[in-house]
Amino acid sequence: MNSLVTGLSRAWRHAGLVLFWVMASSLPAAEEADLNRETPDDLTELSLEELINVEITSVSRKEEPIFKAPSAVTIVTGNDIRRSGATSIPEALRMVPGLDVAQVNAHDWAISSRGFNDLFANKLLVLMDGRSVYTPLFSGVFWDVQDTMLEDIERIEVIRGPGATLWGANAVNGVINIITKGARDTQGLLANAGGGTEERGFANLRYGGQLAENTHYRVYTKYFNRDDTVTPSGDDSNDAWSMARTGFRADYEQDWINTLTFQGDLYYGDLDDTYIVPTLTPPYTSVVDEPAHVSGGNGLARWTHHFSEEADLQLQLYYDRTERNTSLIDEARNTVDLDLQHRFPILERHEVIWGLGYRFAHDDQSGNNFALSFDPTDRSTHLYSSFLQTEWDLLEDLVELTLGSKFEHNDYTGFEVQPGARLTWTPNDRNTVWGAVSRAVRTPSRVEDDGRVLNTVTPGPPLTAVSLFGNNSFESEELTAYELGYRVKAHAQVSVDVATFYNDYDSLRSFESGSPFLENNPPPPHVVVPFEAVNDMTAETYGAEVALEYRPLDWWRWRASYTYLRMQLHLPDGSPDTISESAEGTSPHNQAGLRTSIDLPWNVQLDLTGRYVDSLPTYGIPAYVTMDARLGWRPNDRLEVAVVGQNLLDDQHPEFRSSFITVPAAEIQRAFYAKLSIKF
Amino acid sequence: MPHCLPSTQPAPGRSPALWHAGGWRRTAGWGLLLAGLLAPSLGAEPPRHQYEVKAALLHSFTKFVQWPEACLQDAPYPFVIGILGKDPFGTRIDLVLDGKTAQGRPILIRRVDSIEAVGSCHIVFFGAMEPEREQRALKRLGDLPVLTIGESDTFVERGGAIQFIRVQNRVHFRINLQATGDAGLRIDPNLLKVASEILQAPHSNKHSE
Repeated sequence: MNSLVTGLSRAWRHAGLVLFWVMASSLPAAEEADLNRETPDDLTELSLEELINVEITSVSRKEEPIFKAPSAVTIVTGNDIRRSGATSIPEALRMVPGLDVAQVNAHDWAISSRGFNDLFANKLLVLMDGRSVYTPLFSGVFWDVQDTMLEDIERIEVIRGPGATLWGANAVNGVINIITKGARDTQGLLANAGGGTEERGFANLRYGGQLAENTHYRVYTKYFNRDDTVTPSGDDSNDAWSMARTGFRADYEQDWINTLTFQGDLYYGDLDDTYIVPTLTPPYTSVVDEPAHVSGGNGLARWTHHFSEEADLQLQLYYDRTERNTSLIDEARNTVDLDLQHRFPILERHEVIWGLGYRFAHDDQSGNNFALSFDPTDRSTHLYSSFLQTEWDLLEDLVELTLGSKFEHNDYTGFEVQPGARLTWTPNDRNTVWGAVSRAVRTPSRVEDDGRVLNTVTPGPPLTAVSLFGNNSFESEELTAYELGYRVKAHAQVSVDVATFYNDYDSLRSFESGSPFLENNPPPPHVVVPFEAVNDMTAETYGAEVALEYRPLDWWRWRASYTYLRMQLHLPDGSPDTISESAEGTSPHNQAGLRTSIDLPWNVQLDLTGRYVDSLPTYGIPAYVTMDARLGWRPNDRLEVAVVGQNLLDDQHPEFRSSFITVPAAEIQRAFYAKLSIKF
Repeated sequence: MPHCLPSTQPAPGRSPALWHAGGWRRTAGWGLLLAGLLAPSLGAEPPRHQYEVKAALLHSFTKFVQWPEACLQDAPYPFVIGILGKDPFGTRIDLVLDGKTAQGRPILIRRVDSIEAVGSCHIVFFGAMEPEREQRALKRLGDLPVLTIGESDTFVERGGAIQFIRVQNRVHFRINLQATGDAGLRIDPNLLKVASEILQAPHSNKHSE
């Protein structure tokens, strides 16, 4: 479960060796039958002319990256991240065509693809080295705590559209898989440090070494301190933060047959945090700005056994703990996840992957307050999942069909089935056409099941509090997605990737008013007007994502992207819900990006990235254009100096606002930093 | 002028991974059995894995390329094939080339971690890696007597010597004579006859990291 291409590779393929192996070894006839052909003719005895006429089997996806992938995939490499000047994973994700990355304040981001963006965006699944990092609390991601040593990231694979067939619930609008390098590829000492206007100071240190011939390890530690964003009038927003993190990874590789990986991280962060919370006493609103603390850790073990190039088994176990202590939420969460995947070929052009998974999560919400509460305060959930996927090479490498489904059982809605079918047609090495129809669901989050969120207080009389309530009969949100894409290498220097989609959503979350009731606690007595989470909204969204790459010269590369999105949300006639349809205006209709990377003489690299993001009418945020620039100088392999400017085209601009919980409006400022790296 | 870096020490033979081979055989056998049952008209000559064929081609190339005398004088030393970047062969190359010789000496397959270490190889196969890294490695090897072989899209345009391409489920190759010339390698015309494409134009590699 390493990646998306490998995800789409592995994921579309790791699965089942035990069964297979047992079957194979219990069938001596099979062994013998194959002994005859087992002495393979010695290929080296063939002449050159004969060799180039030997027919080869179809290529496995591992060797054949995203060009033939049957979905909208983008890969951000470690090198892309370095050259972008990004200092966080959300910043790195800004490079991905079709993703909508909006910074809410210094430590909060709203990230989604294909619409429905929100601070609590809930349709994107995010994994780090196979570990799910979205929180079942609201089915979204706390981006402030998702980090690692950026230099150790091998790549970030982003699938837009449903990945539910393999990845399971919540992979509705996309999957982001962050994959770090193997320990073997991070040997030696790497140290860097820097600082600037928003990045007030940061330092990263990693050391990689060898324990035995096939066993490598690395340890890292990092720290950063980031400045406040500003309010529209230019004052500090009181959201500065700092975080320290340390971790390790060790890999044992027995040739190519068995791989064992152990890895883990620990982190701690202090955040300045401000909320505006309605209250029952005058002035009926209060500004809470208490420091928040976040901490957590995880440990993961993974064993991969390769039976052959086409068959492998992977077993993975991880434990993850997160704690979030703010004036609104006081949560501790523990997760244990066990995952098995097996991939093997059957028949000549047919591959099967299957997998089993179990996840246990326990959370404890000890911070119940009038603004946000849960009943019960602690809860355990069990998630059982399995998937089966088959891939047929229907026509000599030209047409490939992938069929599969995920079967899941969760504590909220019971069984969920998420099937999908994908077809690729690759008439030649330069063109790929793919299409897909799939179903995905977004299962209820904890807050939708048993949470309570205060929305507004009106002084009255009577004194009234409008609160949003979770609902035990809240169902999963459903998507049927239709996708069509085309990739072409028009020329050695030009490639184009177009993905289009039509998404049909049903049972989306909306709110239904309940019967008002009187509540005495907390005082003073007040009338509560409840709005319960129900599944009454439907939607259609459609759009296109275009990415173009042009490499006129070895040392000059251009990348451009354009994303178009339309969303139509529908509530039933007479619905009292005035919130949910506003999601139409929280994702930009148009986004465009242009990036140029130039290798100048004397080992100087220049990267310029511009982006345009359309307005967000719901929040009254205007469209903006901005630009990042990075100038790096690498006099040799050991030393690098870089100067980075971010959001250069204006003093400050807003990118997003928070929804359910009110956070003061914050704007993102122009920033500069410098960084020095050494490597031994 | 091409010059030779200090040559590799004679290395102990690599033992082929028996476990792996067994697993592969079992898998192949089972697949074949099923194929036999369900598709009786399967063709007589089963297709080979592309990396078996590519391993054999690496061996074959050694018969058509002349390295400078200076690089081959250390007679008991092995002929070194380096694999840089992600190794796509697995154990296939070890099995196919087990016990084979090249230019009269035993073949040593070496997985190379760093660009610095590839200079002592006679052949360097470029597995998957970041384009910038590939470019740096090609630049570094530019005029060393090393036959560079790769698979990335414009490998020979960017200064590589031989690039494998896939043509109708067969492995063919393109060749860059400018690169082999710079490296001081002499190419037998019989190799050129079989190549899908021969590049003569000068390549540019002056700008890179």
